[in-house]
Amino acid sequence: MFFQLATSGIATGCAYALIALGFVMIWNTASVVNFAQGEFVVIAMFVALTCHVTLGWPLWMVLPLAVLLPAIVGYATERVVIRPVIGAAEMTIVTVTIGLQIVLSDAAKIIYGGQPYSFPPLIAGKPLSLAGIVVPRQSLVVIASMIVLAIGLHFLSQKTSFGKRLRAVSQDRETAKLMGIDVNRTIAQGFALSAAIAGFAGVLLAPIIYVSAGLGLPLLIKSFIAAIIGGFGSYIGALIGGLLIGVLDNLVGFYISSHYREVFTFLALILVLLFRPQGLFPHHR
Amino acid sequence: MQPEAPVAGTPLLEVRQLAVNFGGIRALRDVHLDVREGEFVALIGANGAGKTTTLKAILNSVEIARGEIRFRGRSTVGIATHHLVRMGIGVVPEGRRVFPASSVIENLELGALERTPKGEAGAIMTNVFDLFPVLKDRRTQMAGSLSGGEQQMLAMGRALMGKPDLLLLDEPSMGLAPKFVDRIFEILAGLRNTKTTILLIEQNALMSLEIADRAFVIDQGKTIMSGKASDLIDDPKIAGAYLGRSDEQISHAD
Repeated sequence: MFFQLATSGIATGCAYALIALGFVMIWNTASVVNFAQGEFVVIAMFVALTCHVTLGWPLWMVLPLAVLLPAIVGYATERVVIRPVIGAAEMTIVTVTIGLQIVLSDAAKIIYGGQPYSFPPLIAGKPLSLAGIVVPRQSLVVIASMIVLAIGLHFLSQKTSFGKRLRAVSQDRETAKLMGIDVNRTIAQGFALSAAIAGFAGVLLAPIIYVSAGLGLPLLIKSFIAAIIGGFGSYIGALIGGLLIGVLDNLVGFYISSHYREVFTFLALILVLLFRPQGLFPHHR
Repeated sequence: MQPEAPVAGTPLLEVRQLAVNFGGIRALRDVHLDVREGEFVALIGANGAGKTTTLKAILNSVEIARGEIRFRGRSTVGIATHHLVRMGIGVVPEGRRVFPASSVIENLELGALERTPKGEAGAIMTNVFDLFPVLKDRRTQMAGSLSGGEQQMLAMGRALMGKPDLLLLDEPSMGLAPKFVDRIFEILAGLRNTKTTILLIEQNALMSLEIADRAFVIDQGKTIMSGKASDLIDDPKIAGAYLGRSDEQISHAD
């Protein structure tokens, strides 16, 4: 039972991990703590819900849309909401992203109401049995997707000129300009990429949890905590932190009570902050 | 950005009557300087005289209150820093500013990324490694783990990777051990011989004047002297001005 719970926890954790990754990406490139990150996930979930469930479009058509739309919103977020306040006091920027979170979340509520919607599994078929552990196919799809995406992102950041620009901007924005890099444009693209990753996570997560307009904030909090536990600013830390939170969630939900999930998530955060404040994978800027 | 052919007789870089306000203080009052194609020009002055502010104004990263800056005969008003770099201004910033979490090779590649066609970058990197063999030895090392002198060489190599038409160096000798200072000036002298156009900003007036063709001296935000470096080096006023007249330094950080 333990391994079964852990495996499905890893699947949920994969989604948290991706959201945390995007969150950290925005922090690294723009020094912005984006409280609206969870809303990018929700946008993708509702795109998937409307197109796949309501309109009956096939997943292969829906997935690109569910990634693209948050990416566009992410890009617009940087241009319209963030850029005017870049360089302002940290609290100003935080307030602006909280404001955006409220606007996006309420917009979703106006359109879709507050009720939860169920989303069909991404892949049909009976659970697989691997070495005595019963694993839903869904979990395998999620885990495999995350591995592929993580490898793809690593390749993107190391090998492509976009990735190189992004890394330069993350390390030193002023000096990146001296390399001829258009820093504002790179940050906007970073927002788009980060929102696209969040969108991808949304599609993976939709069949696992009920889709609802209020999900953005709890998902943001999970991924924020995942990023802190992993070592704020570290990509690998965000991934591992997300997986840990996912597994912890699932184990607590089964062995203790699903009401205590948040309690244990925060307990983990407190323990890390007390005994290893730099996180599991300390990040040096 | 299309590189434009320089208009005959006009300097590559020209700064006229430049004034800049910085945090409520008039950091520059009246700075002028010019750099011609193929020339090595030094901008010298005490700490706080306004040298770095002048460089920031040239790169459009501070607001200009008055005056005019022309690169290749064209006003730089409204041209963003990264566009000026793409137009051919290479910068070795104060404090080196290498990308610490990237390797030496990655730092050099970033210097070429927006400026040099991919096919040419390899050949330029070979030249940079010839100029700074230590960078070749440390090419896979993270830049943050290099010594100050090595980081300075990396910052210079990184700027050269962009094949700059004008190379701006801000205090390259600052904070370095004497043997590295000598080495940096040797390299600068070598660059002069390759006819790279250079504007060197330095507190180390004597060493700068020894290798420059011409020099401008700024004090309290004003160009107070200019001329051939070989003439200035013998000027008694220069010697007097660069032994640290702390009472005349402006209070803002340069």
